[in-house]
Amino acid sequence: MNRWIKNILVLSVIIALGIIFFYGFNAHLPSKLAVSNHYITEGEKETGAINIVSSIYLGYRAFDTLGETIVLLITVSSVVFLLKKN
Amino acid sequence: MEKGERSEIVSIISRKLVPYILLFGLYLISYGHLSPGGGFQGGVVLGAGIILLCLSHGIFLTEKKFPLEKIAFLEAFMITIFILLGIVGLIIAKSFLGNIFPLKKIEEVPTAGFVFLLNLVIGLKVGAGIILIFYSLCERSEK
Repeated sequence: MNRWIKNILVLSVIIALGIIFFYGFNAHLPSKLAVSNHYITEGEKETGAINIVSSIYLGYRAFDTLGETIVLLITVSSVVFLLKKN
Repeated sequence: MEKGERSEIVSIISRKLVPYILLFGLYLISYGHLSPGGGFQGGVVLGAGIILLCLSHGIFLTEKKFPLEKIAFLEAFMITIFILLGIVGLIIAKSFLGNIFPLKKIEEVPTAGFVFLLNLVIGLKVGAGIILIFYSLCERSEK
């Protein structure tokens, strides 16, 4: 009996999350496209890169890229530490 | 062919192929703001060139040419330069990683300011990281 109650609780939480994500992050409304439209139209002038992907991940989101490289540094150093000889 | 013997064809072809792979990696890094590519992809291509050299000529000859200490230093040095560029942008352009170089029209000269420098830093760093992981795996499997 206890397992059934747990399963029903988990299922209801999953369904509620699905409804929230479906209605909350529905990005097809025109008012929510302002940021991406700004990146597409003004990105070349503001960062100087024709490649829009580069202009986003090194121009607007460069701080995010710094964290990404730090994650890579920690990964490499942990692999080297775990695989050393002695 | 006996087991453990080195093939002439693989040796010569990889020796001729590695400089062009490294050149292609540098092209992907330095044209990252103009064409598809960028720091991460170009760095992976650089690492793949060195890994091909390792697989065809052995780890000892490759490590004599590209020593492990220098590559580890390169990796740590590049992330220091990344953070220093951010602080320089913070001082001069009033925002962290802000652009301090003048932006021209794209049709005249393809300058992208910080995008090119950050691509170069990230590319060298990713290539050094992949080579370091491969070196440590090779040394582990020898014992």
